[in-house]
Amino acid sequence: MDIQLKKGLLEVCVLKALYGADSYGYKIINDLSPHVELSESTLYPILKRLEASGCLTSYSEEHNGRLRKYYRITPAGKTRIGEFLDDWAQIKKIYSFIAEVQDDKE
Amino acid sequence: MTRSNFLKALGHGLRGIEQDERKRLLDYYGELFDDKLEEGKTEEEIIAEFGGIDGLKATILADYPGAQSRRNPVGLALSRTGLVLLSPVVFAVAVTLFALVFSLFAVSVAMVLAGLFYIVFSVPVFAVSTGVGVFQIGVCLFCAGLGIFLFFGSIYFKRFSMFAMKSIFRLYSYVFGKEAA
Repeated sequence: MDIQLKKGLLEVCVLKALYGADSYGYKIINDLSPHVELSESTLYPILKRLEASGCLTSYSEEHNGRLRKYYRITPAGKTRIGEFLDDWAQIKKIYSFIAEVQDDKE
Repeated sequence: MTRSNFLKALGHGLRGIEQDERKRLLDYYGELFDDKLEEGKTEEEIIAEFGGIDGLKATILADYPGAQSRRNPVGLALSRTGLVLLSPVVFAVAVTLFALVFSLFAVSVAMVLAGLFYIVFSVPVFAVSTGVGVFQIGVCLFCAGLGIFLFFGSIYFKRFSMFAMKSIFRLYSYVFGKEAA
């Protein structure tokens, strides 16, 4: 998949992983792995960008005698998901336009 | 490699990154490490999943282009010049250590063999004089025992020499290596 396209999609995927409940790094990777390939080193900058843009917040909580960082989606993050879903109709239109190439080949 | 050594090595590799950000990165990977340990993975498996120290470091540094070349050029030039000038001394030390290790092993083996060999020749001495025979056997056993003691001492000295040479090699690699460019 195109890197820039994947970058945008991954950010929305991470927000979706946080939509139902707060989560933490390793769990986010495991929850998304059936749907999209996401490595630990890719997730870090995504979380950083989303936090910088106000789409999520973070906090630390004790877990088994150590501190674990949790992430929580914000209203801005939910809005971002909504914008992605609204964009889908537009994306489908563009996909259909480009897919005409396959029809021409046939 | 243990978790703490892994994070230490990673922190060292990321020293070009600003301190607060470096701490956040190490906290992030330390937390992932702990989560994977809780899942039952071994430390070696976890480090392999991260792509090894070098792999992970390269991946992280790719997002921090400025961090890769944060070396003091004057300090680096001085270090390189100093190491080049010291190279004959380092070489002489290396050869001396190697010769010492070899000599110690040779002497210890010789003492053990000589001690055991002369025990055999001490037996006929008993026919001449029991006291002298006992004394001679005692000397032979002392010699052989000292040889064994020296042999084990040689092993420790060899380990120390290897450690010293590896440290010097790592210093040269660090100063002259790709990282230093």
